[in-house]
Amino acid sequence: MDQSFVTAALELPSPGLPLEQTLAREESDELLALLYRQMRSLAGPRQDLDDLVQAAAERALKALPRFERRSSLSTFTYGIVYRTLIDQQRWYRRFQRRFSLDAREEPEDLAFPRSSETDLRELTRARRLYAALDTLPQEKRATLILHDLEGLDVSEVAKISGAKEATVRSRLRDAHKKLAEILREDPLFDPEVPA
Amino acid sequence: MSAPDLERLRVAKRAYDATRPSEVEVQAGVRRARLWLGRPKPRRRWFSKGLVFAVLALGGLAYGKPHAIGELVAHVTKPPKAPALVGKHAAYPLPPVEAPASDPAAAPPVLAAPVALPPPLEVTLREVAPSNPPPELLRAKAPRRVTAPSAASEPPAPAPPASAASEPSGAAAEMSAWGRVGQALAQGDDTEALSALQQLSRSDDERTRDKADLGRAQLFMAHGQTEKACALARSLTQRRAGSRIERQAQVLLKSCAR
Repeated sequence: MDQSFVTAALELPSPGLPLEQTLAREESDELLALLYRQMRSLAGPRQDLDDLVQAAAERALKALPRFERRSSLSTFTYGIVYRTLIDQQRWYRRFQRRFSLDAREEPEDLAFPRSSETDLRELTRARRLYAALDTLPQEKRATLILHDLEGLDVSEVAKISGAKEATVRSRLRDAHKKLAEILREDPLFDPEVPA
Repeated sequence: MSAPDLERLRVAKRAYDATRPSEVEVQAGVRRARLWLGRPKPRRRWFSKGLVFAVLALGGLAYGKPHAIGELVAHVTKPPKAPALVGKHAAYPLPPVEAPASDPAAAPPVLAAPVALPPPLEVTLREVAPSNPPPELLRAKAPRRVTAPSAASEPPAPAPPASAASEPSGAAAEMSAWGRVGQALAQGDDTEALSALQQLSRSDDERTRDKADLGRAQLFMAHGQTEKACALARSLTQRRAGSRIERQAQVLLKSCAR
């Protein structure tokens, strides 16, 4: 996915290059697109997605000079996206505790594609899936998305989340259990229902 | 996970894949992120810190000394006037109050002629108001304190020339009145000084009124007319004439209580 970009990106970050100069290079668009996709997959279509992408991009552009090629660039940026999201969730929880806001708004204006009837059905399924994922703790939610929905293996998920592989497996097991309970009660996810 | 659960997860993954962001959405997001990142963000930390410090300082000043802000603003906005009779920094604007000094009871005729101060009274005055020089000292200092030498050296309150385009302003008139006070004190003519101070007590400017009343109160006290002095000092404290003048009036009031 990002092999062409890896080649370019490895030349991109000269150590100490100012953010403005880094941004001026065309390769940064590829990095921003990668970050957007990764944040969209981890956080889902939510109203503050742009804010999250911007925060992750700022971190990524600062951290790129420290990238040592020990993992793929995608894993490296996924780690940044993961940490940005977790930090934001923690901040939001603290914020909510201090200022008792209403419950989180329902993401009504999600930017899902709507082209056909099938898409509408998938759209409804996706909404319910995100609602189910939102009931999981953030770490387990991210682990499940990365492993089951994005197709990363456990070792990569462990690198991204900064946890041991055993922890990742444990998180996966718990997330599967909880998600299966929710999906079992939803007829839309019944395998007998036609797509 | 059981087989049906795995199947449900597969359905969920299909829905997840179907709603992946399109290329258009990604490019729009990239554009927004790029715009945000490229925007110059002025990080003037010193400005915000300075602003917070200024607001706190002004707020503290306004809380601790309610008159100080008004005095400061008026001091900045108003042109400098003649120096006050008492105190080095007596030129403070004061809140509008009624001038009780306009009552005829406080008129100077009580002092028909310059009275030599009895030594015990002088000592008492020095003890009571160490920051306010007694009238004798005022006499000695007055010529130097008048910053408008023309007003001090020329005859007091000369009539304006007929050819003058406009009448002398209130400030100029006040200046000459203060000049009269200074000159009279320098010559030992307390009656004339009181008369000039009485004239200043009727001024439109409350600051001038308060300063003149304080001067009169001190002169009355120096001459042993304690009741008048105390009445004036009391009125000065009641009308909240400003920190410095009020403090000096309080000092006078202390000797009233004895």
